[in-house]
Amino acid sequence: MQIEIKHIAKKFKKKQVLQDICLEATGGQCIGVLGANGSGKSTLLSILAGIQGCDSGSFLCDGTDLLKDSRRRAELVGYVPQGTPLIEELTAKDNLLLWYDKKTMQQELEDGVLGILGIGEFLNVTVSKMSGGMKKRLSIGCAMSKHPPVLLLDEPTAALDLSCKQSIASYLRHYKQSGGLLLLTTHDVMELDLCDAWYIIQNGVMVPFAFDGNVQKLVESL
Amino acid sequence: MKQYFSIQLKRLLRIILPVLVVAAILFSCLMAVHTAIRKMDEDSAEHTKFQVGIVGTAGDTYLQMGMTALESFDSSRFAVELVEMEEAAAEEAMRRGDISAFLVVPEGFMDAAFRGDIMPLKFVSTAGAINLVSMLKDELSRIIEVLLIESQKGIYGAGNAMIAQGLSGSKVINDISIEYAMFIFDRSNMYRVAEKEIFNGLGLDGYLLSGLCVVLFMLICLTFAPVMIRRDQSLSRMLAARRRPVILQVLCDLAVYLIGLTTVAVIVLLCAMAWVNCRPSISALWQGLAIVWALGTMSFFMYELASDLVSGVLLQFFGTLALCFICGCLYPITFFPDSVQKIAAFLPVGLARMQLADCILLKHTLQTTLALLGYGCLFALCAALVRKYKVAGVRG
Repeated sequence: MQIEIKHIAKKFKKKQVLQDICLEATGGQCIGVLGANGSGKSTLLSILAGIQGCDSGSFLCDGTDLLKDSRRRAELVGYVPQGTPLIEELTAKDNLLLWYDKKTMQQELEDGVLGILGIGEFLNVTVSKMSGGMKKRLSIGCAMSKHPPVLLLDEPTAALDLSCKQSIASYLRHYKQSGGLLLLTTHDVMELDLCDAWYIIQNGVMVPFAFDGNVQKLVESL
Repeated sequence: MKQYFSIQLKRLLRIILPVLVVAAILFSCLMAVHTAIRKMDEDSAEHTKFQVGIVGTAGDTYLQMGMTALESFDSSRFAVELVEMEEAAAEEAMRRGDISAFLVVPEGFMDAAFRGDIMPLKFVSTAGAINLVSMLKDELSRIIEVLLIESQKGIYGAGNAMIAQGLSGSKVINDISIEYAMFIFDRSNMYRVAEKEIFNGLGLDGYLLSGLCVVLFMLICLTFAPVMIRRDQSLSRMLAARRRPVILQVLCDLAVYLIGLTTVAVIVLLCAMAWVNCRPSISALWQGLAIVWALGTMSFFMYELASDLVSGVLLQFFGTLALCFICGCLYPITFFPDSVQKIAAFLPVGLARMQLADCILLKHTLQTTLALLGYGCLFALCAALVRKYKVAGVRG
């Protein structure tokens, strides 16, 4: 599995949010996209997920342009947005049934991705009564329903406590080790440790950044 | 999208019972308001009857007969009530405002009348008052004075004529006097009191009912707010990423919302029709569905515009209040200037009130139904565009 993002550009009215975004990655890699608030990180992920269009560019996955083939994109790419893509009044089980059929859900809970995420522990809990960590695990569980080889995550551990961050990071590490490709936007040091390559978006341009654990240097680069 | 629809339906089922309870409470409150307004209307009609005191008639049979004739047969009885009383009591009653005026019949009035002379009656009223009500009261009191004098003249004139013809004996004179009063003074056919129709053949009662039902429906829409308002668009985004188009998501949400509203509205409509002893018909139900479609999609559109629960509830509440006021749901539309009436006739809430009025009158106006259906489509389209814009509007 190899992805190539080529020359993606996006303009909002007169503001050029993204220009000539290029990136290459292979399965088993985690790519971290950094940038100040409003720099265009979420816009890039939403373009790759097919939620909004771009002015130019392509998103190739093993040679197929996923920006043009929505059916393949839905199969190959999982997307976890920044907020809570869950129905608050319903239980975890009800929410999962939106993405899984009953039989598959049961299998996944026993020995699949839902089991690894530990969703079985709170299967009958209403979303409104869940902690932030539970919600995030459930959101990832929903996004993983078709076992996509590429997972796009928009600030996956934002506003979570340390133990929740750790449990999410642990799952993402597992996903990566099993050959999945992660592309995440982040401000979090724990997530940065998870990444194999880092990019910073500044003034719409994405440039590679060598993160060596020096946060001060990173802050100065943003 | 089947799963999405069934999940949304499940959400609806969770709140439908509380919504029905709220609807029942709202319905009871509005019907209580309606009953109170109707009662006030009846009471005020009762109180418009002016009371006029008559002093000095107690000892005279003929005068009493004239009074009875006036009170029993003359159409003025609908507006004026004559009350016999002592002069001191009459003064006190007028001071308290119980009577508007009193008429003092002087002593010897009868003897003079028998001679063909009419002694002047003493008329006491609040003549100094300058407001319109007092002027009307004064005018009415003068009418009573004339009626009394003329009736007495007639009765005595007839009595004298009979005595001159040798038909003495009080019974005969009494009988003829009563006949006279019946034929001469019964002027009830001279004019007719008609209540002005407020809206195409609908009285105040039915008009208020139609208006209040629209208000009630809009308030019921408000009870769905916690389920319908989206705090963020993450779910829509995730669904869109899985090739579940925003337009279909909106249609599913709208369908579920309308199912909930229709369930509640049908129950409320049936209750309202039972309230006015109106038999529900298939046509009325179709008309009701057009209202649900137009107003339901309008509130759905408002919820789409809102960014959170508080703003959504406020938008819906103040929107409802403003639209219901302008469209005459809270106050008869005829009291508004022509320009406002014309605008109201084109607004969805105004059309819904007209449609409901038609339902009560068992009428059907095709244009109104079509306009409501058109509005519904327009709001559904706008809601879809707003959702699409919000879902695609990822910034950052």
